[in-house]
Amino acid sequence: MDKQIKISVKDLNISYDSNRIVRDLNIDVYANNILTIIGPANSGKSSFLRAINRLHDINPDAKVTGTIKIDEKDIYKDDIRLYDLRKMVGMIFATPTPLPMSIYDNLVYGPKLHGISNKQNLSELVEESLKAASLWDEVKDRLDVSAICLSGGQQQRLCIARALTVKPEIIMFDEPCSGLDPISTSKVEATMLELKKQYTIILVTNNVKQAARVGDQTAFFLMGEMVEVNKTAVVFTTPSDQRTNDYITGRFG
Amino acid sequence: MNVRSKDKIARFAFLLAAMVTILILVLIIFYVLFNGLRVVTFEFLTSPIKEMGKEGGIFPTIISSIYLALLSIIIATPLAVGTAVFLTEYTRENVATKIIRFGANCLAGIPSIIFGLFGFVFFVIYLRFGWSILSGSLTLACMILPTIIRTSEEAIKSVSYTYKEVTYALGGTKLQGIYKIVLPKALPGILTGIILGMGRAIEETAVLIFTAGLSIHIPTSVFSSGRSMAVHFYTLAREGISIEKAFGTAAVLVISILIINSISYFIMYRFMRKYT
Repeated sequence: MDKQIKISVKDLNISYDSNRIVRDLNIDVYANNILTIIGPANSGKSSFLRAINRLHDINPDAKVTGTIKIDEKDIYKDDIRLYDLRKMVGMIFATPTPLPMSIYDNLVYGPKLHGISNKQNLSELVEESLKAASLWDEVKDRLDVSAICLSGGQQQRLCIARALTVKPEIIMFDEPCSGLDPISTSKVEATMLELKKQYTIILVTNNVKQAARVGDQTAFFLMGEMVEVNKTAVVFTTPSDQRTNDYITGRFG
Repeated sequence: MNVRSKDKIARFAFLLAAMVTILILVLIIFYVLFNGLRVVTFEFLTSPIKEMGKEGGIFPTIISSIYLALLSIIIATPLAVGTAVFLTEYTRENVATKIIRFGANCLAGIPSIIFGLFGFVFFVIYLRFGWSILSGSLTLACMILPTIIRTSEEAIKSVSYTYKEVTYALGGTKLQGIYKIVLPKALPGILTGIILGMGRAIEETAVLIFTAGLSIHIPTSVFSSGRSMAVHFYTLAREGISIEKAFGTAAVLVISILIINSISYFIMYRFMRKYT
């Protein structure tokens, strides 16, 4: 397997007010891999994701120290424009977040933010990204319908498509299936496996089995620390730490 | 007394309170319309004022009222919405925002005659706008600012945080988030505030006596004096010129307020339904 490092995290610490949420995190994320992050609530998984697209910047209480490099470039240094970074690093939230507008408008929302206004280009982007998120066949005849009318699973795939419209390189999923039924979940998972060919994916999930199903690498977070990270198969068969073993076998969490 | 009869009595008491409220409203409207509608004819609405209001219609006052309401809204809306956006999106809750909000609320509590006096001293005399539609509108704008600020603030706050987060996550800026998603979503609430403000501007009397003057002619520019419907009513009744015509004017005023409020509900309803 190609082991090109896409994201390299060194000594990452995140705190809110003065509560340390993530401490001394070191991890590499490989290109065209799916890194799954498991761990109980409040273990710092989502906070870690929000450090990668600098969504913590909105919140003045949040402090982030350490370095995160994407393609060897430190994203917290000034020569990276915040808006380019967020374009490069897409994010899918836990609950589907369609905007209260039509399916089409949801999808052109991102490109328009970045100044693309040519109708032809926009239509192509919409079709391309809906196909990539395996939603095209279900909605191609009703792109002008309000996105709120879609089912939960469709909404989540619409959000994936929306993230794709701005041509990211990395896609982060923050517990994307927590509100979905098993069938919708399997569709989202299939989409992720398909996307992996082109994108680098980080998946935070509460569902241990899901992490095992789609992950290439798996990291276990506990109370703001990363207990271990390894190939998914290794973590789930021979974890090196007792706590990981307890968690994946369902003894706590 | 057992629990069930207590419950019944309580229900009756609350019902009574609600009925009395409605009754008062209905009585006032009925009283005004009963006395006023007799003189409200097409001619009354479209004729000029004759003999200081004893004869003729109220056409110039309708035009003045529309000018005053529209101009004050045009002046107040950008200021108020700007303030609301600043308070909700650009600052965190701190001493400065508390002072701004406290100030806006105090503004809402100031009696309108004080606004009138201020408008008279500042716009009419100091800035030399004279008794005019402009002075009146500027003063009205000051008066309705808090109404629009408060409703806009509530409307903006009620826009879900996730919409903003989605905008940021797609690489959008704060400003893009505000004008592409926050303001459009908050629009029904903001419009309600604007329409409420317009209602206040139309029914206002004290402010306009001091600032817009009493001219009975149709204003030809923003620097002309103009008499609003409410001022006309006040003058007719206060100086005993014609009680009949005063009630006629009052009826038209009440009907316009009812129409404005109905429009505001209609707009809100339409917007609410659009995407939910």
